[in-house]
This record gives sequence, structure tokens and C-alpha cells, in this order.
Amino acid sequence: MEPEPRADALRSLAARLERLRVLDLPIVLGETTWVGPTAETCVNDLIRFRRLLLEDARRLRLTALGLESLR
Amino acid sequence: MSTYMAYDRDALLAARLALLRSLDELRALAAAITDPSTHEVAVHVAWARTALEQTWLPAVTRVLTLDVLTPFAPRTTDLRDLGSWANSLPWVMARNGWHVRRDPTRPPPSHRLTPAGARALAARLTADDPLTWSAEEWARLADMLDVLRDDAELAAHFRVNVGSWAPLLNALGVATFLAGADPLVVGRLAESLGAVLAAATGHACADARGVLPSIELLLPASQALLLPHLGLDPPALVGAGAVLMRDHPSTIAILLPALTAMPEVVTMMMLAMVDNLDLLYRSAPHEVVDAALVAAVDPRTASAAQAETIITSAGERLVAEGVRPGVLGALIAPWLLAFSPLSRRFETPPVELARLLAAAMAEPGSAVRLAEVAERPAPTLLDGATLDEAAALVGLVRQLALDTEVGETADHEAAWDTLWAVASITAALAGFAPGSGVAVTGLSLVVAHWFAPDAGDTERVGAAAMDRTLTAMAAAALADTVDRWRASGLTVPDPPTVDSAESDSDPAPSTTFLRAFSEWRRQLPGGPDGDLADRATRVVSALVSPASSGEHLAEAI
Repeated sequence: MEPEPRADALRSLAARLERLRVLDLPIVLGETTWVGPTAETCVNDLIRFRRLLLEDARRLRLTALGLESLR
Repeated sequence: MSTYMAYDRDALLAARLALLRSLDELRALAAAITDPSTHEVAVHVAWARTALEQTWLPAVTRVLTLDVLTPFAPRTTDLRDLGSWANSLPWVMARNGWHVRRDPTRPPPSHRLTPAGARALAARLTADDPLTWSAEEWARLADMLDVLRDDAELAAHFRVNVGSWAPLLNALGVATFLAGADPLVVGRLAESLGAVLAAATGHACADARGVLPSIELLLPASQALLLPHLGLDPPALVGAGAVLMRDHPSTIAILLPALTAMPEVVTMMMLAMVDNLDLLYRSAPHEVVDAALVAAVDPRTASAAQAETIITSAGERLVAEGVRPGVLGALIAPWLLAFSPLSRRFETPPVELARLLAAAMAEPGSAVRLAEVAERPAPTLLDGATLDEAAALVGLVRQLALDTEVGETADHEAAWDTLWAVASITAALAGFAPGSGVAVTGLSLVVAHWFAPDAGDTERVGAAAMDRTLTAMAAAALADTVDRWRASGLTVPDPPTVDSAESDSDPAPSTTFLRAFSEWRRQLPGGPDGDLADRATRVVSALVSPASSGEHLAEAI
């Protein structure tokens, strides 16, 4: 079976998303760095983005799988 | 609301670096996403990027740059050293009985606006009923607007949550009613508003017109706040401002200070409002109206005719209603020479001008302002002035200072200081070329003696003192003239001088001086009828005339 270029691109994008430094920021800016209401809001914000981006990566892999299964 | 924060400086510095690298990565990723099916990913990446860029990176940077949170560097790290304990804050506070207070030179913590705070402020301004706000809340709003004005990024966040400008502007307009008692707060609100508008829209104030709602929809106070920031040309601004102030006097306290700060407008505005001075003084703090009047007659922007209209109209009102301290003097001072009976600058009859001048000299605050002319003359004071004009003014002021009525009611020294100022100007005109830029004060170095009589002295003693002073000034001006002749290559004998020690005992020093002057004049090149003799006579007679010297001699007998 020939490789599906679009599926490859989506999987590559998913891999890039999973390697983003922004995913580590909730730890870098966590309680060992600063504390207080502002710090708490910041960490919550960063966790939300982490969740969104990882969910995006998961969906991209599923889409790639779907594209390949159609062939 | 209280808040707290603690942080590890090194860890936060590392976190800032991580934030910057994450931002670079997100930017690169956003550029790489091209597949239409990944649109949602692009949106999430953009959200994360915006939050990092506009909220968390600035927040972390601000924490790291706050002076108040800069780590304390102890003098010693050895805990066994009692010195370190003696340096500790609790110990020092306990020993000295100190208390903790907010640093008055720094804005309170609540004014350190975050982007979220700026957005919340805009939302609250748009949604709340400002009539329920307390005076403290309005003062805090003024502080916050100051912060927004200086921070374009925060102003942009503020703008995001302002759906329509009209409710916000009306809210600010109402604020000025409530804060009306404090012109400082009103002025700050108005000033900040224009700057915030400019910062938020990315335009200069002059272009703010394009983003504002129709001004007719706004409350009068809001219109007054906005009017100076609409980029109108001066006649349009004056026309609109005058109508607004007459129809809604409560706007005067807002509009007048803003227009006073605009030199190209204030003269026209006060010309338009000079017949409504009672209204102005009733509706705004008196200092605000005083400042507007004084700014309106500034010779750098006002013509003689404009200044004359304002000075005479305002002067009549001030004299009739009781002169406000210093105002009449401040109005007259830059145009003092126009009050000479021989001046043609003003068209008002000299008698009426003299009446205003007498009223100013009779009020100590105003007399002080007139006397200051000798120290700080208006830049155009001597432009086009002639020695004859100044000499006539010396005669007028001398008579006013001696006038019994003035003598009885005035602060004695202040009225006499006015004469000193006028005589100084005259001597400067006589001795120095008009407009040459030589300070009038130069003369006070030459004439160190001011012979003002004491308050209880008789008119005769006053006249004698005046004679001594004017004679000393005439001698100084003559000496300066002779110096200039010599500098140009002429050979001239030494001019007569006044010995201050002798003149104190001389009953009529002007007579002695004029006699010596007459003798000296004969020795000049060209003789007593020559050109030099004529010029020297004009200099001396501007301050001391043979007729008055005869009077003083008669009085001395």
C-alpha cells in the first residue's frame, strides 16, 4: 500500500504538537516557581492550553488513521 | 481587595526564558499549519500564543522588574553574627516603634493594572451605573486612566471590552459632575481620556473624531470632556465651547482648564466669554477663571487689541466686584507700557486705563505682580516702546504712588515697588537699545539703593525719597549711554554721578545732579545744542525733569 501523504502530514503535525515546550510550562511556572492568585490563574490557563493541544494531536492521529483506512 | 505573591527569582527567570522559547515555537508552528482540516488546531495555537504574548510574559516580566520585590541583600550571611539580626526588619521596627505604610510615591497596588484588569475596568465602566460610585472609586478611576494612558498595550486591552464609546463617555461625563468639586480630578480625567482614546485607537488625538459617536448624543459634561480632543480648528472649537459653556454652565469647570492649556485657543475663547465673566466665576473655581484670563492676554499669542478688550472688560468687573488678589496686576503686567498716557497701543481713554492701573497698585497682590516686571519682563514688553512713552508712565505711576488715597489703602511698599519697576523699565529703555535683549534687571546692579520711605512717612518724605531714586537711576542710565558712546570710538568726558552717601543728606539730589549734568553737557562734542547733548538730555529727562526737581527743592525748604 502506498503511503498517504496527507495522513503523514497530519501525523507529523500531531508529533510537533506533542513536543511543544508550551506543554511543559504548567510545571515550569508551577508552585516551585511562584505562588499566589496570579500564579494560580496562570497555571490553570496553561493547563487548559496543554489539554487543548494534546486533544488536537490525538484527533489529528485519528484523522490520519481514517484517511489510511479509506484507501 | 488584598492579594499576595511569592516567587523564586531564579526559577522565574528560567520560566521567562521558557515562555519566550515557547512563543517562538508557537509562531513557527502557526506558520506551518496550512491544511484547511486543521483550522481548529490553528485557532488553539493562536489562543495559546496570544495568552502567552499578551498576558503571562508581561506579567512575569513585571514581577521580575518590580523594585519592591527585589530580593533583600543582607549585610552578612553569618547567622551567628548579631549584626544580621540587628539589621533584620522586625528587629529594627520593634526597636524604633515603626509601622508599615504604603509608599506614597508609588501608585497603590490596585493601580498596577493587568491586561485582564484593563478589560474588566472597561466592562465595568460600560455596565455599571456610575451614579452609584463613591468619590474614592472616581479618584481610583482617574489613577487607572493615568496608567492606561502610559501603556498602549493595556489601553488596547481596555478598548477590547468597550462595545460602544457612548456609554463610557457618558459615564465619564457624569463622573465630572460628581468630582466637580475637585478641579484636579476633573482635569486629570479629561486629560487621561484623550490620551487613552489616542492610545486605544492607535491614532493621534486629532483623529479621535473618526472613532467617536455623534457628539450630540452625549451628556453636556461628556461633550465638554471630548471637545478639546476632537482636533477641531480654533474658531470651531471656540464656537462650540462658548455655546456649550453658556447653555450648560456646569461644563465650564471642565472645559475652561482644558482650553487654558491651548495657547492658540484661550485668547479667542476668553474674548467670546469676557461678557460672561460673572457666569464663569459663579460656575468654576475662581483660580481656574483667573488662570484663563491671564493666559488669554499673553503677548506671545494675543494682539494688543485682543488683550485690551480682555483687560478692560475683566478689569472693570474685577474693580467693581472687588479685585481678586494678583489678577489685575497679572493682566496689566505684560502690557504695562500700553498704560502710558502717551502710548497708542490701546484705544481706551488714558483716564480709564489710569483708573485700572491705580486699582492694581492699590491691591498688594497685584502691585507685587507689577513690580515683578522689573525682574521678569514679558518678552515683548519693550518692543516698539519709546522713551517718551515710558517717561510719561513714570510720571503717572509716581503720582499714583504719592496719591493720598493709594497711600492710605495700599500696601505701602508694594505700590512703591511698582514705581521702581516702571522706572527700571524706563532706565533700561534710555540706557539700552530697545529690543536688544538686555535684561531690565541689569540696572538694579547699578542702582543698589532703593529709597522707599517707611509707611508712616509724610508725602513730602515720600517725594524726596522718590527724587533720590529716580536721580540715581538717571545717572546710571546716563553712565551706560556714555559707555556705549565710548565703545563706538567717541571721546566723551566722565558723566555726572550720584554719590549715595551724599544724596542721603542732600535735600534735593536731582537739582544737584541736573546742575552738574548741565555743566557736563556743554563739554560734549558738538556743544550743548549738538546731537550727543540732545540724546543725553532725553535719557536724563525721562526720569528727572527740571520742573520736578524744582518741586522737590521747594518741598525740601
